[in-house]
Amino acid sequence: MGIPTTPQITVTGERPSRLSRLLKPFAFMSLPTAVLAVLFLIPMGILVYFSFQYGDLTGQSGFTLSNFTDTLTDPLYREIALATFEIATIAMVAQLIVGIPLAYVLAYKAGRFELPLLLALVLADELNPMVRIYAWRMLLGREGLINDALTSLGLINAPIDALLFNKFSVIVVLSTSYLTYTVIPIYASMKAVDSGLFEAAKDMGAGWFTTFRRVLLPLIAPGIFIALLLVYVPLFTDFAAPSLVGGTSGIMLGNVVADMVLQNGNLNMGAAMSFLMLLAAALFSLLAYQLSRVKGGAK
Amino acid sequence: MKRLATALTALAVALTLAACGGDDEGDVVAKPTGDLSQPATGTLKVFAWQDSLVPALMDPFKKQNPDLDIQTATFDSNAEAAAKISNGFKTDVVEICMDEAKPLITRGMLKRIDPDAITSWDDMAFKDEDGIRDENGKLLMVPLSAGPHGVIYNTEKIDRPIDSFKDLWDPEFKGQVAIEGDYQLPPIAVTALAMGIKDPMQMDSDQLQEVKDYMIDHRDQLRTYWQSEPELTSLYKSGEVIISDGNSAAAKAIREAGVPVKWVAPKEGTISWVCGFAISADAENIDAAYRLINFQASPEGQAIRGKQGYVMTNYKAMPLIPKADREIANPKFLETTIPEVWSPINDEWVRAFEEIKTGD
Repeated sequence: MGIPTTPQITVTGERPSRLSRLLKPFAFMSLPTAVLAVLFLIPMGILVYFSFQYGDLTGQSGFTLSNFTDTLTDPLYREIALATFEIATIAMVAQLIVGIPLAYVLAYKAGRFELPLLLALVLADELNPMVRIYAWRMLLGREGLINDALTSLGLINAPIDALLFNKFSVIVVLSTSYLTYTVIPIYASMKAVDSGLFEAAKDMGAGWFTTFRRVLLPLIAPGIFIALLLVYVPLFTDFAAPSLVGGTSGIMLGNVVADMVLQNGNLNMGAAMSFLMLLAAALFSLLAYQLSRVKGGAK
Repeated sequence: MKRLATALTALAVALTLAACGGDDEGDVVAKPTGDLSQPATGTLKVFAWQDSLVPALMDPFKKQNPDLDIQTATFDSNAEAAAKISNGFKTDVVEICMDEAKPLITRGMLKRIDPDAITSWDDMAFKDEDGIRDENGKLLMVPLSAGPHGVIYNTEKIDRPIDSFKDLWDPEFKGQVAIEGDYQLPPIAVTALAMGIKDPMQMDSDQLQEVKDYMIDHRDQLRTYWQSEPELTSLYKSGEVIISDGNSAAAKAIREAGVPVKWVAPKEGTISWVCGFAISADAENIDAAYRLINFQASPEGQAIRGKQGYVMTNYKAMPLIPKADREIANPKFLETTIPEVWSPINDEWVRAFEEIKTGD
C-alpha cells in the first residue's frame, strides 16, 4: 500500500490552451443541443417518417410518396390552402397595422406608463385562448355587444349576422390572438433606435410618413421579421379559431390536419400536410429574413 | 451523419414492426377462467373515453375489487386508440363505438366476447344489433352507452310543432340552425334523413352526392356546426341558434342554462352513437375485464350512467334512478333509433364533409 499523495494545485496564470477555448462553447452547448435533439429532432424525424408511410385498415403499411402527391394535386386542399393563406395574411397585416403604432407608443410616448402597458400586453396573452374566442363571440354575436350598441344608437334595425361565423370573424379573432407576439419584437427593435433620428428627419423637412418609411421602418425591419416568424407561421396551423367562429365557411389547413389525425386516424396524410406546411414556413422565413436584411441595410 | 441515418432507420424498422403487431389474436372468444362472482385480482388495464372512467363509475368497482390494480388511459377516438394499440400500447379492456371501431376490428385487435359471461345480457338494449357483432356473428362489445340524436328547439322562438329533421332545413329558420359537425357522420346522416333517405348508414355514392350537394347549396341555412354540448348550450344562450340536432341530455343542459327548449324524437327516427366495452386481443386479465364489463352493464352501473344524463342500455336500471332522470335515461328511446355504424363508403363520407365545409 503506497503513501497517499496530496494532489498538487499549481497556479500558472497561463491562458487556457487554444483547444480548450475551442471546445468550451461546445461544452456549454452540449446540454441544450441534447435537449433540442430529444424534444425537437426526434419528433420531427417521426413526423417525416409517418409522412412517407401508407397504412390501411388491415394494418398494412409501407413506403409511399402518395401522401405528398395527393395533397399537392388535390384541388380541394389547394382551395383550403388558398383560403388559409388569405385569412393568415390579412390577419398578419392587420396585426402589423395595429402592432407597429402600439409598439411606437410603448417605446416613445408612454413615459411612466411604459412598463405597466407592457405588462398589460403580456397579461392579455395569458388569457386562455378558448375564453378569448368565446369573449369575441359575445362581442360579435347576433345579441352581442356590438349589435346591441348599434341597435341602441338607432344605426341598424336588425342585428348584423355577418359579424360572426364566417371568414371575417376568423380574421378578427386571429388578428388579436397573437398581438403580443407581434408587438414585443417590434417594440424591442424600436427601443434600440435613437429617437433623435426622428428630430433630425423632421429638421430636414421629412413628414411623419417619410420619417416612418425612410428612417423607422428600415431600422425595425429585424423586429418585424421576428414578429412574422412568431406569428405568421403559427397562423397557418391554427384550428381553434376557425372551428369556433368560422361557421360553415371558415375552414383552414389546421382544421384539415386536426380532422385527418384526430377524427379519421390518418396520421400519415396529416403528417405529410404538416411537413409541407413546415417547408412552406421555412421558405417564407428565408424570404422574410432576406427582406429584413435589405430593409435593415445589412449586406 | 451515418449514425443518425442508422438511428432513423432503426426507428423506422421499430415503428413498422410495431405497426404490424396484434394481427393474429382476433376472432378468438375470450373465455373467463375463474369465478366471475369473486373479486378480481392482479392488474386491469382499461383504455376508454374519459366519460367511461369517471370516479362515479370506477370507484364502486374498485370497492368491489379491492385487490385489483386498475390502470386507465383515455383517447378521443377509436382511430386514435387503434393507432396507439398498433404501436404497442397494451390494454385489457378497450371502449369501442359501432361507427368507429372498424380499424380495431380489421386489425384483429379485439377478442370476441362470450355473452354467457355477461350477467345482464338478456336485459341489454342493442343485444340483437348486427353492429355489435363481427361478420361471423360473434360478439364484439357490450353496449354500455348511447346518445339518440333528435331535434332540439327553442319553444319561445318557435311556436309551431317540430317533429322532423326536415325542420332543420326549413327556410323559415334560415341562419338560426346548428348541426353537430365535429365529424362527418351526424351532419350527413341527419340531412339524409331530412331528405327522405331511410337508411343513411347504407347510402350509396349517388345518394351521398345528393346530400353533399344539398348541404353545399343550403349552407346559409346553418349558422354554424356545433362541436360539443357546452358549445351548443352557448349557441342557444346567446341567441345564435333556435333549432338544432342533439340528444336529450344536451336539451336538459340547455334548459338548465335558462333557455326554454324541447327535445323531440323526429318522425324519421333518431340516430344514435352506441359505445361499449370490448376485450383487447392482447388482454392478460380476462376475468377482471369481464368483472368490469359486468359491473358497467349491471343495473347499478347503468343507473350511474343514467344519473349522468346518458340513455341507459339496461332496462332493469330504470327503478334505480330518480324520476327526474328517467325522462332522458329511459332505454325505450333506443328501440326506434338508427345506430350509427361505419359506412361501407366511409372514405367518401369523410371527403364529402371536407367539401361541404370548404368554400363560401
